[in-house]
Amino acid sequence: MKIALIGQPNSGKSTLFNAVAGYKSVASNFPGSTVKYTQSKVHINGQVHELIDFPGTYSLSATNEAEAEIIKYLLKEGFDVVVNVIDASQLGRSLPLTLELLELEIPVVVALNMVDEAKRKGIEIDAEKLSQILGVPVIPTVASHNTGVRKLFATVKNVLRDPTSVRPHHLEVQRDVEKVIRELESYLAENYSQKIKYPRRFLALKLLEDDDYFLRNVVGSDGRDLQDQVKRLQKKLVRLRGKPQETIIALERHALAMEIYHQVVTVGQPKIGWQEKLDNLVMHKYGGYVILIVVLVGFFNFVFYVGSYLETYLLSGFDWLNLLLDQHLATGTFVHQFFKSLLWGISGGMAIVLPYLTPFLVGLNFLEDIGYLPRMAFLMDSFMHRIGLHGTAIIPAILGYGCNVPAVMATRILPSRTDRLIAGVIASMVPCSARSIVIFGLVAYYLGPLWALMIYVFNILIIALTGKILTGLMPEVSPGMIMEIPSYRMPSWNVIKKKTWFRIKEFIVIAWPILIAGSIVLGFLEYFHLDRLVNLLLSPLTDLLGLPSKVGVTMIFGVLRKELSLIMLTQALGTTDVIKVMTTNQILTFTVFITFYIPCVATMAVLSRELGRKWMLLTVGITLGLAIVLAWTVHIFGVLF
Amino acid sequence: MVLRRINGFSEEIVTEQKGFKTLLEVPTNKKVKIVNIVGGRGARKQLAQFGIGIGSVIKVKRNAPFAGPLLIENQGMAVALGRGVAAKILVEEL
Repeated sequence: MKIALIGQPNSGKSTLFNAVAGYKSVASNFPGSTVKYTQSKVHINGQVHELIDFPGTYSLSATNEAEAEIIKYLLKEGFDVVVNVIDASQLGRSLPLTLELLELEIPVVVALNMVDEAKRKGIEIDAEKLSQILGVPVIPTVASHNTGVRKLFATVKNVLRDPTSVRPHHLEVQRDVEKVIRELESYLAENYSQKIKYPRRFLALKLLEDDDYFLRNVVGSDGRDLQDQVKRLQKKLVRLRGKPQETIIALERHALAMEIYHQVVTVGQPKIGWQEKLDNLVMHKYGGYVILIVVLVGFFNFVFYVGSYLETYLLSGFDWLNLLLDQHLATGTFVHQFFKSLLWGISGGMAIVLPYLTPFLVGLNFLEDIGYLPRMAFLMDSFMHRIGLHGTAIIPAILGYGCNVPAVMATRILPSRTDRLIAGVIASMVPCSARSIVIFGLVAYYLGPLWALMIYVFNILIIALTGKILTGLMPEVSPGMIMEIPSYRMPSWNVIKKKTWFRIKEFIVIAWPILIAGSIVLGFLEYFHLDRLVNLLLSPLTDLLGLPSKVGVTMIFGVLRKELSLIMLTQALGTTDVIKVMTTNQILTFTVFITFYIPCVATMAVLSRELGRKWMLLTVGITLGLAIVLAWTVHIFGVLF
Repeated sequence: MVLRRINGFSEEIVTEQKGFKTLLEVPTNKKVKIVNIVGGRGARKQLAQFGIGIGSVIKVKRNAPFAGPLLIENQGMAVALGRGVAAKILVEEL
């Protein structure tokens, strides 16, 4: 049996999914952070069911590619039950999606999530009454504390056993508009009842909404007559409401949702007024930017101090092991070389990557969950405009600091192709956590955190310039930012812990083995003196950048994982005390090159899938060229001054 | 009247209409009623998703500097609107 988990962004859908499925989906307080479906097998009373976590969506109409995907998938896959997760503290604006889901003729169970949050806002919801109005079970939950989740799935189980027990009501909008809907419905019934595979009322609504996906798929194949009919009825709606036809149904649905809201909600005295007050500070026209800088500098220092403390501590341990190895195995032998490389790969992941990765992820997840990131997007909108993008494009960019792969996928939330292309290229230039490890482990550790901060600022400037150039080359009128600013939320330590672990696990399982394998390969290359050949081939580049020729080989391996460059650098140089063998200038040049050149293979794959091969190759070209030019500039600058 | 002029399928640009302002010109914390949205179809649909359309009563909560976006409130939901979008929303003060 297949269960779909659908809700609006920030409804706590992913948190609910994770509560039942273990940690598979990344939840956050950030609109549009799930862009991929996450699937899991869940056991309900001994039976195994498939549970699919959908990306958050405000409605079932296709205003961008991500939403179009959702509708396609939802209608095609034949789900047995839909679990609709609603943010109880935002009931009014959550219900329109619910009303759409009721039209699908699939049993629906509503999870009235975050009822604790709603209570704090003074909102008391009569779940029983809501259930009567909608004709489906409504279960109050608090997914982050696992409250009500058991009852929710017990209800789901009952529905699966007897699907006829739930009869979702088709709720009617105002009578005049309702009449038009009925008219199209009966037209469809008379003329197309055989051909059409969608629920009739749902289809009628979508056609009247002027939904591109359905217009293309249904009208496109079924001829002019239906098209004329739809046009005629749309005109009728425009006459009735005096609004553009593509907005009428959605607005009617909202009006209906508000009506239901007033029937089931008693609004008491909100216990918190601090949200508003906090926003007055955080989004203040000047103060907001001061806070932004304080937050970023604080974040930066947190990662650096925790990271460098642990790195120093752990490295000394591995140095001791290394010494032990040298004492017990004859140096220069193959076996010695093998174990030394192996140890290097292990220690690299343990002592260099994890110390920075962990605080980095904890900090990022904290900012995400508390709801700061959309506010950052708000503050950064004007800056983004200057580089030709609207503020929504900052979502992929910010996600990019964690990992470029989800960042490139998140470009799906952008409405136009051009926006997606530019945002995709930009997202892949953002220093991800792997590149941040290189920046922290090399620049911050040896030269001080201020230098590292400068690399980030430098990176932002270059990204801005690239964006400016790209938008100059591909001008397009984009509709501009339309983005929800969600409420602040108390981050749950439990959720942050799980999310961080989820990413760290990914590092341990996927990246660390690559690091270890890379170290061993480098060990072999060194043993057979093949590294010299690679370095010789790359010597024009390393010479140009004024880098020791030994580092050539490490630059190649960085394509696999950027951390690999750092681990291999220490290995190729034969010391973890890099500052003794490389000058400040060389460290900076190397880091700038690694930060900018070619996104890693995983990012290349996702770029290719999301934007096409041509754009992936173009991105590779752009970044490689940029990396050489920038690193060279840094090098020359360092030589001159 | 505005309402009559938008009837039909063409997107008419309504620039000068007496008594109406664009959302950009609205001072903060003032409630206004939307009388027309002259932006493209995509923007209108996206706004309608949030329940914002002709007839909606909204409040401008914040007007960021340096040509930044506006923050508006519609039925308890805070939405950030780019200035380009806001310039296309015609409102009347209540």
